[in-house]
Amino acid sequence: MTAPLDGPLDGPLDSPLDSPTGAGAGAVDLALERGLHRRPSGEPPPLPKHLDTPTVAWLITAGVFGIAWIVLAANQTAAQYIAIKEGQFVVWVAARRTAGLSDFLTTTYSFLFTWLVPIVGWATIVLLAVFRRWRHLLVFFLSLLATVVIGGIAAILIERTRPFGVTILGRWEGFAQPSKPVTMGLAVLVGAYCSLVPPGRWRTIVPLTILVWGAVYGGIEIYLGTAHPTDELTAMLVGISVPLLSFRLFAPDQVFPITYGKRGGNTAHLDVGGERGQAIRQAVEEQLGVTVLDVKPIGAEGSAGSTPIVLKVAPVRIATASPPGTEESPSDETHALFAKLLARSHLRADRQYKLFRTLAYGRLEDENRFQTVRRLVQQEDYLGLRFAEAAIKVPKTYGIVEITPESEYLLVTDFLDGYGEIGDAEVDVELIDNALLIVRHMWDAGLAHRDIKPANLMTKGSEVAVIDVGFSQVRPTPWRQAIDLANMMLVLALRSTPELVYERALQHFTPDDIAEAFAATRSITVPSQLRQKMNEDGRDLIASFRQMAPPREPIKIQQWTWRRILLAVGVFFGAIGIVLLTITNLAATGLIP
Amino acid sequence: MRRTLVVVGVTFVVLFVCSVLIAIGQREEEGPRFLAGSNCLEKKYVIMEAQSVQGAQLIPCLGDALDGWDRANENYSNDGSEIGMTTGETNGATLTIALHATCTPDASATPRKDESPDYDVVETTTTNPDNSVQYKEWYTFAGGCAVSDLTIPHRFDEQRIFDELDASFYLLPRSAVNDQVLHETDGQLTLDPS
Repeated sequence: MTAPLDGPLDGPLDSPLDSPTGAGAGAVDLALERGLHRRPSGEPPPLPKHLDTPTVAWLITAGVFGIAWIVLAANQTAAQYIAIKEGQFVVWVAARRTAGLSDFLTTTYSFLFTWLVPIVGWATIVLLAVFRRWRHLLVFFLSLLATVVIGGIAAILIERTRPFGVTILGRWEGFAQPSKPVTMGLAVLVGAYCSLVPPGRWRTIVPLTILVWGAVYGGIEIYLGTAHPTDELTAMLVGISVPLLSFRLFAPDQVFPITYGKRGGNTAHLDVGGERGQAIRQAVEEQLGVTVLDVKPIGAEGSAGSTPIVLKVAPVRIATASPPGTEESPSDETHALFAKLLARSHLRADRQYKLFRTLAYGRLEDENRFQTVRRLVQQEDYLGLRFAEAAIKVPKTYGIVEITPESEYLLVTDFLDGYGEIGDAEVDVELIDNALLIVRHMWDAGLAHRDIKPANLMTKGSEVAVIDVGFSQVRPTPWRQAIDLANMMLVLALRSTPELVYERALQHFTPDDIAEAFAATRSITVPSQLRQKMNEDGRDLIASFRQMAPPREPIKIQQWTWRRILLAVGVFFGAIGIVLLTITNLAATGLIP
Repeated sequence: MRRTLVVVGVTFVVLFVCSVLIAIGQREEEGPRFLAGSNCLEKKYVIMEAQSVQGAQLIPCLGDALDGWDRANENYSNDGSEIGMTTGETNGATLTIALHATCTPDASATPRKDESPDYDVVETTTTNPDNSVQYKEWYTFAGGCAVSDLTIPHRFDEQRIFDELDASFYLLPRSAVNDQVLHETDGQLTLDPS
């Protein structure tokens, strides 16, 4: 398959903004298969925001029960009537106890009372730690704590005694409403569900199972005489609603997706099948005018800041804006386009990246985070155009596609068909020169990529293209420019020799430039993928370059600012606070029996 | 959607709390009733105590004469109950009333002259390192045991506190608590199985 939409606009060092007619082609030069569709006011976007069905169903049910309870509780006559009737019901049940069943349920209940929360709770915590879902882990623990607090406050306010007229067989503690064992049992199960169960049919099966289990557990308590039916209903209300709302608010699926088994991928990758896949097709069709035949994720292990996908699009006619009567050049082949799906989860990754960089480098890398996904994708699109303007080979951008307003956008670019990662390429002198020229052009244009590593350098023959310019910077610090040069030389040396790379670098940079680059280099300045490759390689490439370059004192990267100090103090004490909060409340949440 | 969730959640919590407050407010309209033979108001904690030791024939309660004391903590379970009171200041006097099915008095406890044929009482008096004085009493009776643990800092007027407690501390017959339950349930339910 040829590179999609190849033409005079797509050469290694040509500006993509030059068109054959001389007029600016803009970001989109795809001909229209059909008219572009502007979404009118009021029409929903391709992927409207919504809650999953079980959450909506539960919130409606809980809301109806809650309002009914409020109305009844506010009326003393009604409240007393209900209390008497359900008290009589518990007496009726107790009168029908059998010795065998009572013994069995007393033992079972005693076990559940003590061990249900610790077993499910710790299993969930361990699994979340194994899968490194730290946000979910934190929300899980805090949701248990919130449930304890809310349930405790409700119990003190309501002051419901245990059932009258029965011998209470089961264990109990405190006031009866809401029933604490059922509340915490449901809270830990719902927390596990929200943090471990991925989208799919299990998202329907598991909630129903939890509801049934809650009813059974409540039924056991009623049989044993420890609680009334409304105590159990209130327990379900609190025990399900608090963790459910906690996760939907503080760890929503759109930002913190739950995925498993994606080899080479990571938890930042959103699922592009199902509803989202359909929305992507619709959005690209309406906003770019091409028909999407297939949407496939790429499991790029280096992509933590976005969800990379490949779009297979229907044949397009390439319009060249020729004078009337001139034939257009048709193309019958399907094409591939590359797209980056950016969502709020990536905003979070950007935020964490910047926090880490500010803490690690101080003033050298101190910058404000993006507040919205829209700004993030606009920045990446803009930087792609700036790189292209600087005669640096980057995938041509075709524009931004809106999937969900303010939440999800697609940045559509060339696929760079025929290109492969530099880590798999035969590196010759011409390729080394082209790669070093990229850094030269960046320096000349006042740009820094900031993430030079094998995964971001694509080659075809001796051509070299740079991808993933989202973290790039305009007018960076000289230190950052030097780091780019060092990282590029290290990447090239992995596939050749430091001596060859150094010799070619002297064609484009001075010895002092190279000395500066490696004086600024530390393990922390080398992207983790590149660092890993260097470890696998075994050669001490940094030392080799330092030996060849003129001697230079190491460049200090620790630059302190008040913001960095306050952030570091805040992070430190925040972490301490969370640890202390966790330890002191382990017993309160029931995680320690 | 996130904002909707927050609004729904907050609205529900506010309505929930308001309804509970309304319900509590309405229950107070009847006017206070005292448990027979005491100045202990009919309160839920007495029922909870009685339920925590289902065989206890006497239930400890603290009447309204205990002025200036605040409830510090209360724990009820199938193993018994414990209510903690304090005078509220830093290092103030503290009182804990516990009810259990059985208890083991200190070996050094000495019996007090019979005050009632319904229970036996033994007591100890200890001076702590900070010069506060600790008075502990064990009341044993049919089906249970009540323990009173009073600590008075040295700067307090001991006699005044003793007088307050004498006027406030009662061991109620279980039947009085049963009467409270009958009253609350319009005679439909009893405290214990009939």
